[in-house]
Amino acid sequence: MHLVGVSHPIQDARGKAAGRTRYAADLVLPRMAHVAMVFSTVPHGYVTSVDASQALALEGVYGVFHCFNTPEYRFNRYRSQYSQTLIPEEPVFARRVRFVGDRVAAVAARDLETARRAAALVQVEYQPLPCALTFEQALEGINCLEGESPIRDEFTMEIGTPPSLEEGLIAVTAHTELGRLHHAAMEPHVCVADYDPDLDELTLRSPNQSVHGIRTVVADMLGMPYSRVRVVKTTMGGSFGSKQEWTVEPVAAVVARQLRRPVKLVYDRAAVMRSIVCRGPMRAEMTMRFQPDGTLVSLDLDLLSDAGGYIANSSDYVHTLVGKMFRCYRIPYGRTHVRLVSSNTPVSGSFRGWSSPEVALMLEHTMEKAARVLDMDPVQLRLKNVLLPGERDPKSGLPMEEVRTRECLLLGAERFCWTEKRREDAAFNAASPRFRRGTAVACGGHGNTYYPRYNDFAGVEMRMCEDGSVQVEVSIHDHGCGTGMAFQMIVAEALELPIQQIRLKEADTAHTPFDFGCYASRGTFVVGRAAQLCALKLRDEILNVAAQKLDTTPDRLYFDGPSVRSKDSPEITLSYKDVSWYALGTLCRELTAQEKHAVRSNPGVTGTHFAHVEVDTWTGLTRVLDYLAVHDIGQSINPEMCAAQVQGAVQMGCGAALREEIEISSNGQSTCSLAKYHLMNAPDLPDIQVELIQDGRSQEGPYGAKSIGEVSFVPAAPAVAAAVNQALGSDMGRIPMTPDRIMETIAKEGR
Amino acid sequence: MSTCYIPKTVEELGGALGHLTEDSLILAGGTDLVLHLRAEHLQPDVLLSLCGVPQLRIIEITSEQASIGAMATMAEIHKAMDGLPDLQALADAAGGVGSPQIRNKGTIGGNAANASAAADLPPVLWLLNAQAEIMGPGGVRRTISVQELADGHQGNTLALGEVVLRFLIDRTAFTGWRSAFVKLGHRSQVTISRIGMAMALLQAADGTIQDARVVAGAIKPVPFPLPAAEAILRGKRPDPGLAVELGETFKGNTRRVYKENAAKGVFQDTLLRFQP
Repeated sequence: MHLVGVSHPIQDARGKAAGRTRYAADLVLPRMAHVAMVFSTVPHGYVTSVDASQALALEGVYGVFHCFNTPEYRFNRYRSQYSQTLIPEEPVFARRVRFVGDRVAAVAARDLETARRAAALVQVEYQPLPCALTFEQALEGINCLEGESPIRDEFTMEIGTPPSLEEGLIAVTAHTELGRLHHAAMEPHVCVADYDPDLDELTLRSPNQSVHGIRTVVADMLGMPYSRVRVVKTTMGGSFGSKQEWTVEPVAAVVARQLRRPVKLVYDRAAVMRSIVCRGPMRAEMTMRFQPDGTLVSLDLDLLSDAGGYIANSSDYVHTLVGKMFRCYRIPYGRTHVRLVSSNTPVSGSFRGWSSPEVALMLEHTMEKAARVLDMDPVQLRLKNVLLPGERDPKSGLPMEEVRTRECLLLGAERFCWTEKRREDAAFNAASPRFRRGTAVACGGHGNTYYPRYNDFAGVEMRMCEDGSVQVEVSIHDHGCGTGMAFQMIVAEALELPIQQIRLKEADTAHTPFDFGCYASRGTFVVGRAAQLCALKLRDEILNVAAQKLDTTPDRLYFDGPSVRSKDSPEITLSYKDVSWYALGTLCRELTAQEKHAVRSNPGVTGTHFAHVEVDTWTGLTRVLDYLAVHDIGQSINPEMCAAQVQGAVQMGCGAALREEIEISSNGQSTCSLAKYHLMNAPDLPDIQVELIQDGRSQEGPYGAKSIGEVSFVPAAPAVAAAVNQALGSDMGRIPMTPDRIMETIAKEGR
Repeated sequence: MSTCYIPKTVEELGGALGHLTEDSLILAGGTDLVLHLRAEHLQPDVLLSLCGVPQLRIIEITSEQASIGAMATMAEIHKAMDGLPDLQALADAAGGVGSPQIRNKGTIGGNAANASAAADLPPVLWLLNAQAEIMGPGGVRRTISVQELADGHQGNTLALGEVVLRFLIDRTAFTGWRSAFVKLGHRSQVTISRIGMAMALLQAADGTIQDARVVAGAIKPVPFPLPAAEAILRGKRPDPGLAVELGETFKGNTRRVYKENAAKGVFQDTLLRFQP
């Protein structure tokens, strides 16, 4: 291989660095209206009236749309596959508002300033309903209307065989509670919608993770044929799961259709933080039982999760969490009891890792406590319990294949100077009255597809141009991490072409094949494999046509760079251009290939992170002094971009562990400014070291690749949180460990 | 319809000030005002921009006095003051405001007149007994102490049509002093102060503190001096170990338990700045 495994700048690096790349918010269409939203100011209630007269009196306002003047269109923001039978619980314009930030009205005007000014003039009256803002209030059901139950979903799941004898086992219980997280993608949520009333065609352009998912939701909502709804994925400035749920697209579609004008809807930061989606809060009690030698025998999890204002994906999310629990450690028996409530707070939903990072915080917190109870070194305890090659995921039943968690632990402990650091910390802590240092490790597993929960496949089409260059049609949704370049490398490698000879754009329902979307870390593993297979098919096609031209059989030919040579006549060299011309001119057909790939595996993919922190016990501030992330990645396609993704994940994880939280005030207002949501920024991060272990190759991924985008985030917050507890000798389970919480713990426990 | 005035000289500014009404706004660096204009869709009858008066940006430091134009930016102040022992606290505070982008736009006049409780420069201006030179309509000037500039409710005492022209610090009162400012936020940079600590010490050759001034910010609506902390410091060396005792002086000054407890950490970080 000469392209795969060699670092390349991402496809749009030049455009982005120069500020030339066009995002959805940069798009301008003739006659386009700008839309501004009116959001609910109460956490729960009925909208009793909307007075838009002052707004409509402003020059340049085209219309104000709300539940009293617009047909009641409903949808489910989480629906991303035609086959999902989810209740369309969410109206485009709410009559019953369920959280501060719920959509009440949309104002369309000639420019954004006018639209926003008019939106501020819309007078909305509410009849308030009792609201639940906390777990306790939601459990009490104080926000339930008649016929509604406080528990929106509840289930118990058992996997494996319970231990025959409880006697002699050591039980360790840990309580973990997670706050709400904001995704903090740089680009906000945007949709440009264009409706042609004469052709009855709707075109939506937005940064999103599933063009076909949006098509399903919007076409069903509007009662339009799918083929008349076109969804185009625009260059995306980050998602982290927040653009996997449809919020702006249904609104823009409805307003464009009502107004019969193209519209652009751009949320600002406050709206994104409040009204799109957050990583929801969870409260967990986990008990692990060990044999005295540290072998994990069983696990109990009691989990309470809050969906927020709408259920959205929360029911699926907690079901998924149970499965994600088995992706790293050998758990012979696991029993989970899960309850889901719905409070009047921002909607919980998809977040990078899709419940793996959440369950990892619970697992690693308990594991950390167990190491102390068992008096075992945390690395040794993990070495004893990580899944090994040859073992299976007990929930899915699929082989873990060549999983390399053990190697990650060993390599990481050596590179991070684990033993030395732990010893030095102890000496430092004994000498320092103010600062405490801690070193900790965390492991975490994830998947590469949602298979076998659902069937998963991808399709790709290719055509060779007259000059021998290749156009690829594939529904990728680059989140900004260079999926486009990775795919060009995969295809170019297979076709032995320079990368510049491959044209590969992003998903567009009008042109690219059906695809479920780029989530579940399936992009490279599933869709990338389809691209590789399609390229191999095109190779066969090239050989077939070349054989006809040379009046021989394909087995007498071979590839030599981007050309075909004959084993029998060394002087013969056919360029791809020669072959393409022959196909077009003589055979009267285009050189094309079409391939689909249906996944049958989901190998183990894990990361092991090491964090060294220093806690200021006088101010509660924590500094991350040193960090190492070791990943079992199979074959990396574009190594430096993989490392960059890991570094970004560590940045998110440090913030999630130490600072970041959307808080809800007593009147239901949520944190909606980055001035009050304390992201971890570059000055506070150490040099994040990344090691990729590349010999645990997958059977089905392209060139043996496994996933990286989400798994990289899984162990990050757990490692930092564990290091803080190690530093303080504490057992904090409330995440994030903000300065205030650290100071409270110190005050309470007198450390 | 708004009128925007962009005077080019102090004299023109004096004339423009006469046009201001209760519905007018004054634009300095814009790092706060522009956000308000957008978020609240403000439509001032007059917007007076101070950006066009070069004289307002002048920083002039002599051995007797420091004169800092109201439109001097945080970045400029940091650069001009850094390394001057008595004025170091001002350099520290200006150099720690927001991000480099904010420091390139944000001004001392805006920071003081906007009078946010969490503003970093006011505690230092209080520490150094700065005076504010003010101009009103028609160019009428008066000078007040910075303590008089704050109204106690996160606003200022400027009358309609008044602006701050410059701040004056009498350096002769601080001959031989060193000063420092340390802030505690949620992170080390690009953060809003939860505690701002301005300290100035006059030390003997052996390090003994002969006189001390301590002013804290971001706790109450306006900065406040801590005479109890000053008393602890006098006669001692700036030993970081004093931080615990100094931290006790915060008790009763804030209802926030966190700030009360964290004060000793900020005291220690400040004392560390005075090590030989």
